Amino acid sequence: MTLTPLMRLGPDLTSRNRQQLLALLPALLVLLWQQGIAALLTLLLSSLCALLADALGQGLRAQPILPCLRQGEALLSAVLLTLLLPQAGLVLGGSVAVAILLLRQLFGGNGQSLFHPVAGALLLAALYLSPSPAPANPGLCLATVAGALWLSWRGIIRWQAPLSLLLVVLISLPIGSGWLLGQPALWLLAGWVMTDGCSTPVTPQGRMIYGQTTGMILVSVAALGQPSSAGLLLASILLLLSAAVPLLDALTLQAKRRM
Amino acid sequence: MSDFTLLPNGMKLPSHKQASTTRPIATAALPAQLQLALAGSQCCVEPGQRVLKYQLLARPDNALGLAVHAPTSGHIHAIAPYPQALPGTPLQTALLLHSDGQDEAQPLAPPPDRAGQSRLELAIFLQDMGVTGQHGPLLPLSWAASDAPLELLIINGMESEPYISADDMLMREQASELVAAIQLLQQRLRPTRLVLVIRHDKPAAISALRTAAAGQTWQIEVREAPYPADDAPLLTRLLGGTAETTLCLPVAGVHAAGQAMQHGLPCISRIVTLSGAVEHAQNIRALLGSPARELLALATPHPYSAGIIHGGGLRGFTLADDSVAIHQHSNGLLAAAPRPSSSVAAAQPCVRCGDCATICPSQLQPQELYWHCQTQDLMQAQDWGLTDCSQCGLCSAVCPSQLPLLDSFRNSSLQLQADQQQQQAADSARQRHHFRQFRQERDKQEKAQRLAERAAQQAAKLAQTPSAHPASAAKPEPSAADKQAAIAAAMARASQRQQHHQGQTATAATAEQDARAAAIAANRQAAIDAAMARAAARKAAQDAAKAGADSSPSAAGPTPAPEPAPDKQELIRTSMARAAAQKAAQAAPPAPTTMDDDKKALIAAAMARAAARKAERDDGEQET
Ligand code: SF4
Ligand code: SF4
Repeated sequence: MTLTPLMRLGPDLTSRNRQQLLALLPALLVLLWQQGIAALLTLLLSSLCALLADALGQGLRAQPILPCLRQGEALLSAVLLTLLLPQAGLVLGGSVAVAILLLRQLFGGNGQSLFHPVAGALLLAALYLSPSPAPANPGLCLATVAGALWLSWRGIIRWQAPLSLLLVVLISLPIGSGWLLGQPALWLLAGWVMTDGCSTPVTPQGRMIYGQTTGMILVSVAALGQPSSAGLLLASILLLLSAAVPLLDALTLQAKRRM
Repeated sequence: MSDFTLLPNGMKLPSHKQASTTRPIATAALPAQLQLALAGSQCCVEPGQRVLKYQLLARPDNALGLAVHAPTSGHIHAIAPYPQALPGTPLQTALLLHSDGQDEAQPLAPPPDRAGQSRLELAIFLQDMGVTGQHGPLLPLSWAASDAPLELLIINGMESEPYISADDMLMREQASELVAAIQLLQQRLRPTRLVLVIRHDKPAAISALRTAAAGQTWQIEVREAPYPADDAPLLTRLLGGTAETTLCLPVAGVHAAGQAMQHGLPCISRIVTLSGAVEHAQNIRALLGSPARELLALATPHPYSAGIIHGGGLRGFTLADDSVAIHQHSNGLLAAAPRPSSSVAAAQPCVRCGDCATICPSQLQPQELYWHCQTQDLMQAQDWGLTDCSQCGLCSAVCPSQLPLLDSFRNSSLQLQADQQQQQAADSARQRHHFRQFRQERDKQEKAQRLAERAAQQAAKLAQTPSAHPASAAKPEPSAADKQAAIAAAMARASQRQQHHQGQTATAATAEQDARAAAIAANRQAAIDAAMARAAARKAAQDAAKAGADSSPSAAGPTPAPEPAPDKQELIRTSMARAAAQKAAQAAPPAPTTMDDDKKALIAAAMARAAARKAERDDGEQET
């Protein structure tokens, strides 16, 4: 028997995911308005693949399927990826399914994976897509930023990592990092992936270090040569740094231990 | 709506107290049966026996136990293990009392009415009256037996937990009784500073107390502090006290202590808030041992309510068995509303959102702590601050994965306590031995005080005879003379210290050291005490002679003996000093003593206490 407290002072996981989806709605509307039916098809396809992959994973691990799907983690990944690669279609559907199976379900489901499936799927899809420079998209950027601000006002996402990243990007404007700001991928990854607790440090200090490090690597690579896709670059950095999370946690938590 | 609460800083906790404060405190009907737990106490009645209201049913058998008194008259039906209103409803030995409906009371023993009651005597008296504090007796015996100074006494009226308004209603309706109780505690415990601290959200209680406490020397402080403001360590810090010199007492316990000290009433009931999913939220005064379900029925729970929560909105826990009985710590019973089905999902793994760490008032890392508590790694859990966790339940309430963080911490701390107790049980009799020691020390103190008072009266009588010649003063039977000598010595030393103190402040420290050394010595075995007493008498005689020679009238300070006019006092002191000197001269050779060692030890103890009190007072003066 679980002894539940009478009062709940915060949203549960389902509610958090719903709010994160809701915050993506403005961006999604802008995308559909800009790109029409193609984006809609991608959205449907990737959502379907994500849900199927998640259900398959849960089934293979002999875990309840419906509550997990209702919780919306898989759907959130699918929507995020649609916004990142609206034209990828089938490739995107495949990568999101593989990423969810490998990076989410194989690690043991919710809260267990160290690497974020969205970042993983982005890398995976890049293997099959011809690299083409992504154009700046101020409309989408603005809609995304609005959603992220709302989320952080609601206390759903923690601001430390994205803000640290942003500060580094802003400070290095003179060396030519300005073009990053026009990339929706920067905002999407900063607001929805860098704020996911499982693949980022758990302490505020750790998150700041994580965000700053990400920012510095991003800016130096971006300043050296103009990579085709900011999203791809940022996703690789995030995956790379995720491996350092246990170390960052150990370092920043040590101070909080009472000896 | 809690869903729109900003978690980190601007969080406002809904208090839900309003509903239960609209009616006056009701009295619950006499239940048909009562179940009284016997944790830490030794049963002294048998099944089948008829008992009267207030009759002692069990006496404490360790320092943390409490006496149990019959809340009403009836028959002892059984003594057996019953589920208790504790997390996880464990089975514990309890007494089942079938009430006979007559509520026939036995006459109350008058409370010991001596203002000079030491704090240990008081603590044991309250333990015997079943008055509870946070853990065990209201005044912890180990604290009362120590000579730790009491700089800050906090009466804790914060009560910040959602839904609970039992203390609030108590302060509103029983303000004058509470004030009387606080005044008594102030007299007996003599804290340097006494503060009744109330949370700002109880305006009615504040005004009631302000009216009742007009003219009192202690303060009423209104504080606006977030939950868990009622946590004793946090409150101590808030009011600028240190853990070693501060005592924090709950108002309910203080009220019960007042009833015991004034009328000799043992604690047999408490105020319980009935709230949650009920029709008529209210507070009731319920007999200890009443069944939870019967009590909650008085508030008419909604038909859809699901189960009973014992405690408040955050620290409360569901009762697996709602026939369990309430106990001294049952401040609330809440009817649980059923959860919306979407949130019934079992606990999910931690998603490392960090919300628990952000909200934790003790600045812990609940997610790490939880991990170690789940793996039963108590060493690691302690490293992560398990003992600093105030068990406020905020982390559980914000965790999006709905992990049972609080339950886990509570279980682990219980485990930790059990482990520690087991370690102590390696020398099994120790707890009980301590307990006996506390009681013996109390008896010794009482005896010493009686002797000292009598001797002082005799000495005063003797000294009042103007023609008192040294020889005639020494004439009474030797033991009386010995006592006089001792008292004279104590007085002389006190006056000497006073002089020193007036001269320079530095001597206060040495005086205190002296006093503490004397106090420690006084607790040792009688043989050592006797030897010391003899030596002290000798030394005292010299001191007294000196003091008698050069003491000035201004040196007259407060002394443990009744105080005559200053000039008379002077006279008494000199004559007594002379008598003492002579007596000491006689006793100087190690001749067989005429006085039995025990008495000497007692006098030594009395002297030491007088000196200690004096030194404390001096210290107090110095600080103010
Ligand atoms: S119960 Fe949770 S929030 Fe409260 S002190 Fe303990 S760890 Fe911190
Ligand atoms: S609140 Fe719950 S999910 Fe979030 S870090 Fe704490 S334990 Fe984990």
